[in-house]
Order: sequence, then C-alpha cells, then structure tokens
Amino acid sequence: SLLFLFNPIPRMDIFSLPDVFHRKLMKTMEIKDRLTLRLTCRALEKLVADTHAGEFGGGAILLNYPAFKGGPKSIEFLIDEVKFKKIELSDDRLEEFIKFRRRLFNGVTFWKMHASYFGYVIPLEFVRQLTDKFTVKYLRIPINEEAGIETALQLMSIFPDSKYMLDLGVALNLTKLMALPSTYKLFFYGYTEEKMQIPADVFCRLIATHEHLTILHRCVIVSRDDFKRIVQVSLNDISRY
Amino acid sequence: RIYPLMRVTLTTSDGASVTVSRQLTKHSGFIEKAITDMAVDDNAVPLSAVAVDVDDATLKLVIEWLTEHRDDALPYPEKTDEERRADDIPAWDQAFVQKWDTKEDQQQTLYAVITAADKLDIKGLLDMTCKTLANKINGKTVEEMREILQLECDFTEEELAEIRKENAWCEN
Repeated sequence: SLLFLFNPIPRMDIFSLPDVFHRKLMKTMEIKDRLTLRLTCRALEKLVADTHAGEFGGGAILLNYPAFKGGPKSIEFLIDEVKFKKIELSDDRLEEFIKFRRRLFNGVTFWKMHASYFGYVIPLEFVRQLTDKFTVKYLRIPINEEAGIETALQLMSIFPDSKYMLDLGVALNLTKLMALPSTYKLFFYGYTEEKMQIPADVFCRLIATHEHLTILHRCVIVSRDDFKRIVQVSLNDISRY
Repeated sequence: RIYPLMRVTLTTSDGASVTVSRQLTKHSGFIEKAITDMAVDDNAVPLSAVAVDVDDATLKLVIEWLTEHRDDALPYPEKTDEERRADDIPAWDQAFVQKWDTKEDQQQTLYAVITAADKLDIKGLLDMTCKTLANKINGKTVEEMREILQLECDFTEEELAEIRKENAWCEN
C-alpha cells in the first residue's frame, strides 16, 4: 500500500537493546571513549554515568606534599595511562571533581591500585568519596615513615575487601612489625631496633600472617626445632589454598 | 546429558519453524529451560516445539553461529569485570559479521542478533556482538559515534560546553 511505501524501515536504536548488553558494552569502553560518548546525546551521557567502567589493570592515587609539611596540597588520580588533572584540595575543586567522576561511571574495578603519599595526614573523607564504588583487588601502599603505618591502615580501611601489598621501608621495632595486619605481600626493607637479626618466633609469626614475605638485609637464625616449626607453619598455610 | 541426534523444533515470531539438533540448542539457556520445563524424558523424540520470540531471518543467523560454535565448552565461562578486551573476536565470527556489511541495513541486523542472543540467552553470541559494536565505536570522534549509533544530538550548546568543561578534568 501507499502507506507502506511511505513508512521507512523501522530503525532500531541502541536504546532498544537489552540492559545487559548496555552494561556489557560500557565495560569494554576506554575512559577516553566514555568521555566522547558523554557528548553524543543526553541518553548516552546518562548511560555513561549509570554504568560500571569495567576492570582496569592499574590505578593510582598520589597525594602531593610540597615541602613535605602539613597536609597534602593536591591529589593526582590515574586510571591506567589516563591521567586526571591535579585536584587542588580546596572544597570547590574537590566537589567539582567528585561530581565529574560520578558522571563518568558508577563503579570501577582495579586489579591493582597504588596509593602513595608523603606525610601523616590524608584527606580521608575525600579519598573515601573519590573511591566510592571502587573495587580494588590489590592495594599497594609504600610506607616510608613509621607514622605512615597509621595512614596506611586508614587507606586499607577504605578497601576492606582488597588484598594489601605493603612496601615497608621504615625503622620499626619488632612488636610493631608483628602487629601489622595480614597482607598479601609484605616487603620489608627497613631497619629494626634489634639490629640485623629477626628472632625465629617473630619470623614464624610473620610467615603465618603474610601470604608473601620478603625481608631484605636481615637474617633469621633458626635451630632445628625452629626450622620444623617454620616448615609446619608454611604447610598449614599452603593447606588453606 | 544431551543426545546428539535429538532434535528440537523452534517456531519463530513470524510463524516459521525450524528443526535443529540439541547440540546447538544446548548453548541457549532459554531453549534448554523451555525443554526442561516440558518435563519430558530426555529420550523423547521428537520434542514439542519451542516458541522463540525471534524472527525467521534472525534465527537463521543465530543457528549459523551456533553451528560453528556447537563444540564450545559449556557452561559458558562467567565473565567478570576483567573482560574488557574487544580485540579477541575469533576469525570465523569476524567473517560472519563482515558478511552483514553487504546488507542494506547492517546495523539493524547486528541489533537484531544482539536482541536474539539476549532473548535466547546465548552468552557467547552476546559477548561477540558486544565486542563487535565496541570495536566500531572505540576511538571514534563524537560525530562518528553519532553516525555509527544513529543518534541525534539533543544537547543545547550550553550543555555541550558544560560537558566539555567537565571532560577537561582528563588531561589526555
């Protein structure tokens, strides 16, 4: 009929596709593509904001402390190679960035997140907001000052389900070394007040607490019984996996 | 257990019917559930027809894809967040999709297959079509994306300027 002739072929649009497809598609997009998609039309801008960004290999939160005094002056945030502008720690700029971040994705997963800082104070609430809906499989934190352990613990509390990798380059007494929470990887290259030696008891405790343990420049002197215990602890540990 | 010779008849949304091997339909969560719901003995041959909400032309494409993938492992591996690669589409699948390029409305065919993959719960096909569309838009400009996805810009100039300003947070 004439009516048929004048009716165009019904055009399927991307929004007629199932939600599961939208979510899947958006997880394959790079950050740069999400930025571009935001500019196409209102509906896609909303889809970008309402979807998970998928998993990225690495992310980083770098707190910058000019002159290493006082609180941080700015924060840098990276997703893989994508670098965001330094966020000056004034209320307006923080709010602006958080608003932007919430329009860019509603969640993201990092295989590994590197959190670096110099100093004792971190803007914890901001980091909490920035990383809201982030899943971090491995959180790596370098610690260069003893007081930094507290900061690291605060950062770890933001990601309770992550596995932690601590690079510990500080002078630490053995009591504090043993008090560290369980980690996936503890790399200790600092000093202990007890000079070069780590007692077998402490070593045993450490290997029971940390899945991977690297200790540089220290020695552990063990008796035959100590050695048996260490092997036993390792075997018990293996049986958990 | 799936019997290779067992066949099932599918009736399409436009009234056609096609009989296929259970070796193919085992990849469709929807059809397998329909057969299970019939509560028939697995040895019963033939099975009752299963109605699918997919038109005949699209179903033929789906069956062509299933035939190639009939030996794929099941259950289909659950993809988690780490599945963001789009550059690993098998060569046969790429050629399969390329064929549609000669058709008048290639995008419509792709969208129809995506919808069918979702309705029939064929995870591998849904993944492949998702990656195909992702590859079409990755790295494109705003105008190119609008053209590929057949979108009209409904932003005002002020709104566009605001989004560009927000996007400037990203340095590269």
